[in-house]
Amino acid sequence: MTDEISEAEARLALKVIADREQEVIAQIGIPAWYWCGLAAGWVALGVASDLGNAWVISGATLVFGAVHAAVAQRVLSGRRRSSSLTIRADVVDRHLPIVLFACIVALGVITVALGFLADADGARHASTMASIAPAVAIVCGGPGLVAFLARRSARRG
Amino acid sequence: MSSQPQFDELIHPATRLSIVALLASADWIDFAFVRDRLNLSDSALSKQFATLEGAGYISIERPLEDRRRRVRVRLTPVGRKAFDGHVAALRAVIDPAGT
Repeated sequence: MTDEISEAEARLALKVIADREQEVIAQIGIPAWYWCGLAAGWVALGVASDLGNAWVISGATLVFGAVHAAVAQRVLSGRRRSSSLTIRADVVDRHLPIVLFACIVALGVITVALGFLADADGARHASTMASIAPAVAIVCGGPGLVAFLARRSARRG
Repeated sequence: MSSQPQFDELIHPATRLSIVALLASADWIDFAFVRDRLNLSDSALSKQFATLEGAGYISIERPLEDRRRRVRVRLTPVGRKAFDGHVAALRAVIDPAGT
């Protein structure tokens, strides 16, 4: 049966297939609401910390952690950026959630360090101030980081 | 994972090849997404889907989401096997020694 198609036609068909696969790979990502919610939660934790009440800080941290854990396990895979499709697991870099989680942990460490620096400098709302830069990095850098990782996994594929 | 080369005449026409190639990279895809990517009318796409569904290559689900009826399409195991075999057959045409 394959004798009926030429090499050029086979190449063209394979290119169509590769192009369509790239269109799906371009959909890898995290929903925009996740980045905005994470950044808002980050600043809210900073504000709660500045209130100085141990119960408020503990409660806010627990709520933030629980909500993030529930949401992250659904969206950090990068397979459900839009409601139009779910990308196959083997198309997405399986390290994506690990890399993103590591970045979030790193931002947490940076936030604490910035908080100590601001506090040592005598800032009145050290935690809030320290949380703003990571929150901006989340909103501005998160989508770009995921896009970079998706492109890298596509090249490997 | 290498599949047995098996040229598939049902998949090979350009439109159906594009549809199946999109579906092959996803667990499921919304009808509208495929329609917009391929610049097809609803009726033209429905016709292609009916052909593929008739062959057992795709399954069509209609879940109710946000009070809207969605149409989700996914490749069946039979469709995936046919697509993988077709891709292997195309590669065999280009590189007969590689199979």
